[in-house]
Amino acid sequence: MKTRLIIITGFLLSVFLLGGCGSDKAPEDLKTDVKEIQKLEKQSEDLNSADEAFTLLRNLNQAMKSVRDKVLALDTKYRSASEAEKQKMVNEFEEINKKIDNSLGTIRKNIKPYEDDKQVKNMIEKLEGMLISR
Amino acid sequence: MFSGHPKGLFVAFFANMGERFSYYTMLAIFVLFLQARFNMSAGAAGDYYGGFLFGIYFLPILGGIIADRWGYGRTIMWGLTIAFIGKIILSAPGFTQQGYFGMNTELMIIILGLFVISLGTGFFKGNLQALVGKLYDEPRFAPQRDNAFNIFYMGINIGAFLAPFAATGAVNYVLSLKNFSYENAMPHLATLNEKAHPFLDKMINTVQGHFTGAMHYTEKIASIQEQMGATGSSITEFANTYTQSLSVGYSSALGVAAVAMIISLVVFQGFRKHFRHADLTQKQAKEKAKREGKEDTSVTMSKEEEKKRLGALSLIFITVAFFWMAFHQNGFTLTIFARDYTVSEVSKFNYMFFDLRSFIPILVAIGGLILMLRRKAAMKFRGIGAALFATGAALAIWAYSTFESNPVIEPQLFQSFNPIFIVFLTPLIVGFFIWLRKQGKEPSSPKKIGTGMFITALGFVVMMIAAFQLQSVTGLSPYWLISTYFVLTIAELFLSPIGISFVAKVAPPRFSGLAQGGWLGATAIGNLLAGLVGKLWDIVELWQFFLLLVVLTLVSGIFIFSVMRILENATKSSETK
Repeated sequence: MKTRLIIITGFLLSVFLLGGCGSDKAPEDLKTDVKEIQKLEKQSEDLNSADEAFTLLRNLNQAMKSVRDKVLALDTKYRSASEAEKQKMVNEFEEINKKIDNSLGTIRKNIKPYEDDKQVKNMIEKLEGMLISR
Repeated sequence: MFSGHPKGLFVAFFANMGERFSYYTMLAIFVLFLQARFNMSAGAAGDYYGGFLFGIYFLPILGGIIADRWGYGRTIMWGLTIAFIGKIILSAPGFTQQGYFGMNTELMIIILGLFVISLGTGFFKGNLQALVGKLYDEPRFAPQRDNAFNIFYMGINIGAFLAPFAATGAVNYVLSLKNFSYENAMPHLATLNEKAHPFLDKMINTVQGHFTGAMHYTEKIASIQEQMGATGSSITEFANTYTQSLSVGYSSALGVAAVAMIISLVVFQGFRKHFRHADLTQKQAKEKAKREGKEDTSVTMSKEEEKKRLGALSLIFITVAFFWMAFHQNGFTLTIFARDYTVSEVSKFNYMFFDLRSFIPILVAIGGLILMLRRKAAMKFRGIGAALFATGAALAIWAYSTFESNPVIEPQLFQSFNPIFIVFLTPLIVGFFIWLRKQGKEPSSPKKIGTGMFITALGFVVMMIAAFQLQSVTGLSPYWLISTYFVLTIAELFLSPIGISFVAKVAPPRFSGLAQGGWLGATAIGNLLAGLVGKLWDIVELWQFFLLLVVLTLVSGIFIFSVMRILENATKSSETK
């Protein structure tokens, strides 16, 4: 019975530990998302098929979802910030927004040949609604 | 399958079906209600949902302890009444204007309602199972115990299956009173419209610069307003009226859930006479025998025997926690898999399995065909079978003709396969066990449970193969998930009703309620583990994730068979109790 109990406890603990592996992720800021989008921008230069375009857009959607959540948090913070803080936030955001603007421009140009593909089209539609969805 | 059972089983079946219908009606809209009313993120609403589920499955331990002292029927009645009050509390704020009580107070009312419902369910759920088990302590019914719990389990799933349709119906009806239709995005859009969002506005402009289909939230609200023909007011007025109407709709669905509780209460109380002989705690049985001057037939167990049985139950509880951990990936990672890796557009033929108007007729037609072709069936039954087959086929073809080309399937639709499979597979599995019993080969309950764990592993092997397929295609056929749900449902039928039956059989008489509470407590731990393991979804490769589930369930199955002697000895000694 003792051996069985040790086996069971070990089993339970290992599952808890395995499950806990992903729970300590540090919160990332918008700059991390920009890096991710810039990485996708680079990848978009080497697209060879509709499947690759689909995968790239799927990853872009994930990144934009993260951008959306942080921008909404920024808006909330902005409402109660002091004037000086507000100005700082606006300046930082402008810089980030410009980078995202450039990356989206390049990605858009590079996926153009594949946008008639049904799955790619679906992903573009998702992207277009991403910022105002929950 | 239904003959040779005490009448009390069918009272329990309907009382339980009503309560589960009520519970799942509430659950179907719970997260949506929180998001619509309080604009919660999915994560925050999920935290409330998780906490509530934990209470639902953990409080039966308390309910069991109370019932073992107080009596099962009485505790069940209190449970039904308390859960009914909880649902009334929960539905109250939605009928008022948003913010009428102040949002913090409203949230407190909701939390109070959730706690009261958990408490009521805790008093009800495990104890009804204990009471059903007690009906089968009579030697003439004892061999039917496993099958009885299979039938009882079917009631749960009929309730669960019908609930989302009732919830959707109530919400849609209230919306239709204002000529609105359901629009998932509206509550969030209305919240965005309430306050200024300078950064979000700029970011939307940026996206619109490259993707012309992107809309600002005000544009999106206006387009929905136009779509619904509600153009006489400003978009802000429209958004507020819509969210208020939706809120009333959700509260009405909660009201439907509360009414279903009354039905359950009436059924249980009205037919309580069918339970009364079994509704006795050990102490009450002794007192009754003494009062009536009869011989005390209740079993007094030695401490050692009780310890042995509680030990066997603990081993089962540990194993089932792992089953629920794997099984409850259905509402979590398997739904994410459906959303991200399964094709959303299907052919009209495939869509027949995702629309009730066609799927139920298909099942009816299959049932009719089986009835018609049975070897020893009487002509009368062959005729009924033929009629069912013809009606089912005709309705399925009619439904097919109404579908648009390339219909879209929503990821959550996959979850309805489980209750449907339960209802239709239960007679087959029960029939299979009865056939084995006639051959003298019916496995013991612990062996069925162990086999169930291996079948669970098989279900995730299917998902592992699907994950390998993903390396060459972007979207998979929905049949991968449907097959997995099919295999997992068979596993569930081997494991869950049989497990409840095992608990009823093996529990020492003075701990019947507590033991059923322990079973549900193990489910609560399984749910927690499901969330923890689910966190690996974003970290490891898909096939590795499913491999982990295969390994965990296989190890649990092997573990069960390694302690089989202990478990079977406990079952055998219970047969002489």
